Amino acid sequence: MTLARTFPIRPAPLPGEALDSWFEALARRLNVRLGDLGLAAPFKNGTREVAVPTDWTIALREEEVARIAYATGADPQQLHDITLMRRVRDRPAGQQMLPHPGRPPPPKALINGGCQSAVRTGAERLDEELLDRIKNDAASEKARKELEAALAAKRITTKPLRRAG
Amino acid sequence: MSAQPVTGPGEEPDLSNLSPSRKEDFLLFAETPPRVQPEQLTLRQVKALSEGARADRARRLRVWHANLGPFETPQLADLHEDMWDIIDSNAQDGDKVKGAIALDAFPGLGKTTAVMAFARKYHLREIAEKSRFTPDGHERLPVCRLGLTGNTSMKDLNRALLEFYGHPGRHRGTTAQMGHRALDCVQSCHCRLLIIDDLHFLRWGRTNGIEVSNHFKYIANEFPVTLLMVGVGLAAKGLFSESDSYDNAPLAQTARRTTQLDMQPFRIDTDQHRRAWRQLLLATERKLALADKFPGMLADELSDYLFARSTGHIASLMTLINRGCQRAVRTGVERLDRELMDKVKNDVAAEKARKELELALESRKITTKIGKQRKAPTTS
Repeated sequence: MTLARTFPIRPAPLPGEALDSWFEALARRLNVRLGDLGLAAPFKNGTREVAVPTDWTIALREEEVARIAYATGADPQQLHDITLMRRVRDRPAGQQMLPHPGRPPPPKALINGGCQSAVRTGAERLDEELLDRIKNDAASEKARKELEAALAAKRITTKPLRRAG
Repeated sequence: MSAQPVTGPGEEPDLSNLSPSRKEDFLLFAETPPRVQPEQLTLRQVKALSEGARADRARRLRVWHANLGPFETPQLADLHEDMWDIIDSNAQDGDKVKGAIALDAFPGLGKTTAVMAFARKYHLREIAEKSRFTPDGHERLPVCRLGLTGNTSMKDLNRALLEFYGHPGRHRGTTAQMGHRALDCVQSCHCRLLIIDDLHFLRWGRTNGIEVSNHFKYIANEFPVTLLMVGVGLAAKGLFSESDSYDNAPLAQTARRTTQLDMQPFRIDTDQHRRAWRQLLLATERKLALADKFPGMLADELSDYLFARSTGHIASLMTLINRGCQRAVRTGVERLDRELMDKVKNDVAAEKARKELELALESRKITTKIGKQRKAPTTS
């Protein structure tokens, strides 16, 4: 793996800041586009194990952490901690939020916004009440009513009926 | 961020593939400790070496003899003193205009070598006094060095600055964006010494040249940076021309803020100058790792000869000695003498001036030998 060159200017993540927020801040401070940072590029290509979700704000692989830590001078453990994975890991057992293999990832904006809010307000957990206050994109909001009605009527459910395999 | 050469255990870092126009390489150059002089063997010991050991020694000597300098010559010492004076007096607050330095001297006098040696000392001093990172957590790079190319435009210049710093925005952007990023790097990384090498490449008459020179001035005005311009014939190119006409007014301002330093070739017209020449040869001699070398090999036996062949230009002298040593090791002669040196080719300029000097030296019109007040050599 060829390491990128180190960034001369390297603002560290703020306490509680999420990875994507920090990337945006880095790009802004360096006056470049997010893609030009050269950090996000490797995440989009290549095959990934099913166990690691495709969205790098959720979890980072070790080589991704190594690459980002080298370029930015950030502490590798801190990089793991500012992904959503930590929020998931810190939840009580049995309340896994990670998608099952083959299913789409959780709504990124909603979870990300929820985590920001949870950290900011000190709630430090995601629940319906908190997520209710987070605005999602227009399309999701539009489709929401219908889905909610269907879910409430138990016509559909997100719970798997039986385990796969 | 630190200089981390990729080497095996006990190996010296490979500095042969460096370009000081990148911060990583500059750090490696500045922070690698000086090479350790190879062990001095006798001819007999060399002959007793096994095939492998001899090849290994030859490899070490190749690198060693190719990197003998820099020597603390009087020229280099004077230049460094002047530079310390100027750069340390520039420790004034950020709103004051900083004095710039123009090192304007003929080729072959070791300008770049002297400047890089100074850059190294300055970098090490700043890093030792402060720290590797600025209070904001950015990389501290007190020295930035740029080499100009044949037709440098504003965008090229800013891109070169970004390339030095490894800024991720170096590949894309408008001239203005690149300029903004470059100045941000200069300021955020606490650059205090900006070295522009080969400034004579800039074509002053062209729009590009004026733009770029104005940009340097802007950097020197706006940021707490001492500008160190290195080049050949800068004065003749009009860098410091004073004029009443508005056309040259910007250049006149440069002249008022720039201190011109130069370097002189070695001369042999007085005993003092001859002594300096001898000191250089003695210092060089001590550094050679040839098995059959002896005290006075250069300073006594080859003094006149080397002066004639190098015309007192240190770059030509070092080229000659380097090539001579390579040949001496390769052929197993392991010493420098006239016969061997005669076979070594030197640069064009030195070869051209050689004939005339040799005639004068032979007819005893001039000499490198020190007169009555000659003293025992002291270490330099």
